[in-house]
Amino acid sequence: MIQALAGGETRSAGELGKQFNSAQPTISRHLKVLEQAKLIERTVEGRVHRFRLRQKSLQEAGAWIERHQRFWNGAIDQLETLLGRGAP
Amino acid sequence: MKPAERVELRRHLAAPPAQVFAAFASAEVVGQWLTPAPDVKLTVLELDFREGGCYRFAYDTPDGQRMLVGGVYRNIEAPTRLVFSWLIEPPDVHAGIESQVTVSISPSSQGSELLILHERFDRADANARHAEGWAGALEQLQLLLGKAGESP
Repeated sequence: MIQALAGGETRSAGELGKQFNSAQPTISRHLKVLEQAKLIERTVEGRVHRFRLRQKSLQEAGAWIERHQRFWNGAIDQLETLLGRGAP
Repeated sequence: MKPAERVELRRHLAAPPAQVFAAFASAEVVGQWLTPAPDVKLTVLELDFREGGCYRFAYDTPDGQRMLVGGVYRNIEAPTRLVFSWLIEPPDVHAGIESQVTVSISPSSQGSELLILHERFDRADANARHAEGWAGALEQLQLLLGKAGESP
């Protein structure tokens, strides 16, 4: 879904449903989860719901994961060294 | 469908679970290893290792940046499990993002298997958690009181 919106353009729920060949309620559920996670935003024009990727949120979430992955990897490397020295 | 907002690391360590657990349990030992790299200096400002107790760490990088992290020990089951919250303080780019670290240690034939699970709560989750008995707000208060009680 994120891939489908990655171009930055706005797509309607109907268009996304056709692309994924999934039932509309399934698509709606996925979109709702992504919306709650603040990864996409919704605009409503009459009966048509359109969705767009929030690029900034996505980058920010990726940066958080990468930073903490690096943190724990580095920390456990050091823990391993410390334990190797027979401490604590 | 939902993007992974968690970091999961699994590592075998050549030490028994009690020894690995002890590495998390005192300021003296934590200060020796809980940093992302050897040149990032950790100063343990506070570490009250009991359920409901607070910790607060300062990380200083070689380029002069300082990151402050604090949290509350939510669950301590020596020597196998430890859960604590993790909140980076402003002005950091990731300040205010609620997250939780679960450390699981199990015995293995070579020593221990360590699993670190660091989960980030998105705003919707955080709101739900706050609604459930104000748990988040109480925790913030606890952190604040902990800070106020620090010696100058």
